[in-house]
Amino acid sequence: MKLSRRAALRGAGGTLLGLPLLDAMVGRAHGQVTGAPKRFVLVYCGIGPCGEGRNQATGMPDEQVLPLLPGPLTAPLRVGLAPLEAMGLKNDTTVISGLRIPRTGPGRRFGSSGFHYETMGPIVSGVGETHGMYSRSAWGPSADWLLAQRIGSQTRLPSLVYRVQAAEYTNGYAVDNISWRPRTNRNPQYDPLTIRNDPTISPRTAFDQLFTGYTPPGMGPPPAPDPELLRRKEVLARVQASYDRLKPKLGAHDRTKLDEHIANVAELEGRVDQYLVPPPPQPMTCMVPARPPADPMAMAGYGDEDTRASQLIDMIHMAFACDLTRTVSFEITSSMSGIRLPNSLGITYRSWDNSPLPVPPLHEATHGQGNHLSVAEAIAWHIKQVGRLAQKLKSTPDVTGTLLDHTAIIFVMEAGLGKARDPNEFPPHTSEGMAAVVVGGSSMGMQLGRHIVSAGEHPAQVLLTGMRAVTNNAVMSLGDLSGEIAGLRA
Amino acid sequence: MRSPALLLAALLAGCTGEIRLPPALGGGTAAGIGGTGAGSGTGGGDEPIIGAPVIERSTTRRLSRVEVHRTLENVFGAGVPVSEDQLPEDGNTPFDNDVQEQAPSMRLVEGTETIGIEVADWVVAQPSRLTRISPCATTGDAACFEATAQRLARALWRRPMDAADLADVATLRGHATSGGNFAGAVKMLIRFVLLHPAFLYRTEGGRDGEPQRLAPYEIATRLALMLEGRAPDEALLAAAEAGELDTPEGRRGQAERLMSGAAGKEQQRRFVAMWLGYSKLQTNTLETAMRAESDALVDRAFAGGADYRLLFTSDETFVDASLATHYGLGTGSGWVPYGAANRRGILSHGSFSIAGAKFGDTSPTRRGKFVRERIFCQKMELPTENVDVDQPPKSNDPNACKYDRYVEHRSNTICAGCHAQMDPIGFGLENLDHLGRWRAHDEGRPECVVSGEGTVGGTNGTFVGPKQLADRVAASPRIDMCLASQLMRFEAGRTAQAGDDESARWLGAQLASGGHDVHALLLAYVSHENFALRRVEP
Repeated sequence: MKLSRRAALRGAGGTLLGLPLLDAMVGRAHGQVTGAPKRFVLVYCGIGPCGEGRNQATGMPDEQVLPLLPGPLTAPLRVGLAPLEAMGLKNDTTVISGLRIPRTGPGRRFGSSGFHYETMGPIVSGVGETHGMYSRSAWGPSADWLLAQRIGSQTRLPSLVYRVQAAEYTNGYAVDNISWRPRTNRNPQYDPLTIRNDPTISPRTAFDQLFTGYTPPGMGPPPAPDPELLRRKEVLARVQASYDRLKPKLGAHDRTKLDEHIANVAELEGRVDQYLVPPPPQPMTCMVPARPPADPMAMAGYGDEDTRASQLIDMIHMAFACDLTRTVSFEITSSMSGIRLPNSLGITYRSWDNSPLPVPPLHEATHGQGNHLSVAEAIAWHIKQVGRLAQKLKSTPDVTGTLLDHTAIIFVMEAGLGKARDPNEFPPHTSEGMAAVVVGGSSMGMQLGRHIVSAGEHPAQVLLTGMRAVTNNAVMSLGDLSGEIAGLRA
Repeated sequence: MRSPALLLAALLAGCTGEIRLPPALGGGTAAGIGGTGAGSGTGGGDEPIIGAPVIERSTTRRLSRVEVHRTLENVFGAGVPVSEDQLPEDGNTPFDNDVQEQAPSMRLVEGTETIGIEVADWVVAQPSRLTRISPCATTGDAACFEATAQRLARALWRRPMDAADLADVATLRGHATSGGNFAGAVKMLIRFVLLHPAFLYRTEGGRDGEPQRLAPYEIATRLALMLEGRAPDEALLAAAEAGELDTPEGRRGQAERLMSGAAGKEQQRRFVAMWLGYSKLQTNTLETAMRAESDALVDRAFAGGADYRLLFTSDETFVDASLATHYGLGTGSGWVPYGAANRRGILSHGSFSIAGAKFGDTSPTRRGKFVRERIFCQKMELPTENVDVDQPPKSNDPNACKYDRYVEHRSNTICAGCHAQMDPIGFGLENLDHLGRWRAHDEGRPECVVSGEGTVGGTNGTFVGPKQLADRVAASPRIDMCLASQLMRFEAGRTAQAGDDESARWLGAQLASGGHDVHALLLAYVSHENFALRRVEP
């Protein structure tokens, strides 16, 4: 039996790979760890837990996402987090609120004049934004990339970098990226410190990255190499050889740029080499999902991101089940997102007087084209994606317990509540009062089923806590930060 | 409603960064737009218009998504599957080919590989598609394979393969044809050609240092990417091989041909859409009609012999019945006169109105900033740290009209310096809502009458409504040089850099002296000897 890249797998829905789960067979690819591998998922949401503006009657921003009381999550989860309860994940969840990114300066947004994009970099990298306004970059490598450097060699792919939002969609908006690595060959005159890791947005590409040439373990001799893989390898090698001849004809600047391009070609060839090596035995839970037949179409501000998210989640699930990677960056929506999430996703856009509104760009929903309930419903759609992944992981046995027990899913949001409880302060939508949600990781020491009210710790410290849990405390810092969130990990 | 025209000139200093303009092209008052003169060519100014377009610094840039798509369609035929979104996003600065927005990435390699596989599969799925790129396919021999490789390289690499390249593809053929499968070999060939940097990147090879003459194929590539947004077609390649592009006449003749074709017109529409910010309209019925409206006007304004300022001064517009109704222009379709409506040109189009929307309404600041930066090339500085740009201006009076909610922009000295240059333009367009519909007052507030009074600064800069603003814009000599500057950036695929002023002045002068004819300007540009030269970035 053999699964080729472009034929057999394309229509093979849910092919079951492997043998019955035996203790002797759960040694994982490359690493051959004796226990269950530990995993990390960074999930990013491009809006905060409530929109700007206040309830005219109470003078308060009626955010409807975060728990009202600290301690055990005994009360029903509120609108924005309700999907986790509905999916039976409440006890696998901890909410951390009261986080903040310290800012300097006189701005009414506590040092920020533009706000948008400025929080993304510090959140994912722990490095403060010091390079001017409206930066769409992280000024240090992101948590997922750092983790992949540390544990990525143990799996077929060091990490997965996915984004659900397929395009910027609306005039005046942009799409940021949350995964960053240090820039090599940097010209200090005009090159920034980091370079983005372009995310995969195509479920088909995601499938191919993971399952190209992925052959099931057999009891007999290894299968012959897939001819398609050999063709790919040949094409990639020829391109490199041809470039070697082109290179002397180029100017120095051009050479630098194309060298980077060819380095990626070489890396892809290296991946194909790996694909040619039959994988080690896998547990029975390792299944190859169907190759998505076509990517969802982008129309009128929405590219069926719900389906796109679902398909990418299937890939993450099986990537973990087959131990093809242990680190994932999963950006659902971009900061200051121009996506138009339709009503069919359970979001009703209402004015402050509850009169209905047309579907706005997501960012606009936080500025009067939706009330706080609308924003909470939009958050709920994001959280539903976390729930989808967590449910799949929870239903999948691992060496011990479930995949979810050994996976920390960390959900972070672009904005916070501001000093929302203080009617004398400026409305929310700032880097104050930020929040994160952790789902899973009980076997990694994550303390779940509670609401932790932080005394102003940095949201990147939530990621750092997860990184330390995955690496048995080997990671000491993230960017400028050290120290875990108090009470999040045993 | 108070007039926004009463602003202190002292507040205007220090806000803009500008391209240096000689007086003949509207230089002078920082906040103004060069008076209302007609910009009569090279005469009349204190500073003569001399110089030439600078020799462009060659910058290796990646083809944009659109350029990839159009090139593959041209080579392989309509319907070829090109999954553009497999490629990294393009920049939006405002053009999609800005090299500074491009970073090499694994996604580019993976995406191109996927596109190559899908294109190759599609090509060999039908004999007619295969013979389009390989007329000798029925022979299936080595000579035919080599000829096919050369054909593809000319079309996609914009140059032929050399002997070593051909040896490479012969190796590919060996890998693919163990079963004597010619189609399989062509599939590998297509994948190889598309994944090669010679396809993905526009490179103009050469040593660092002194200006050098472009190779004929490189001239062809410059022409085709600029004027059609795709790789050169067969006729252009043939002209390159015949040495015709080495002469101004040869380049001019080919440019005429390219600009007159469907791809050339589409490229002009695309340029204006990016320049004026409406390239990403939604695909719903209304916005599709708006795009068609603006495209039709671009076709007229950029046609040979036309004065491009028609873009701003047109007294009629192209609508379908639904868009006419939307605008309140009756129920007709086709070219409909504005008549007594206070509208004129593209500034009255829904496409332009949408581009200036924010918070579900118009943003006078955003609209004004847009006009300053895109049409007059006056860069507005970013707000200081204590300015909040992320929510609409508010007032302590919950019943305040919109104009009054912007009072802080005018009364706060920190704000007023810059806002005085933006908001008065935007308030002059306030009769057009964020979808381009006419309104006499704020939404649901009959007491909040919109006067439409505005100013663009400078002498005779006041106006009432979009029609008069259009007149002011069209009369400003600044716009020639600004448009020239935008064209140059688009052609080069980069943001402004040292030396651009000289080129922009030369191009602007060509526009002004040439009847404001963009078509003629582009012909003059490609005919200039510097167009065929390059400097290589060290």
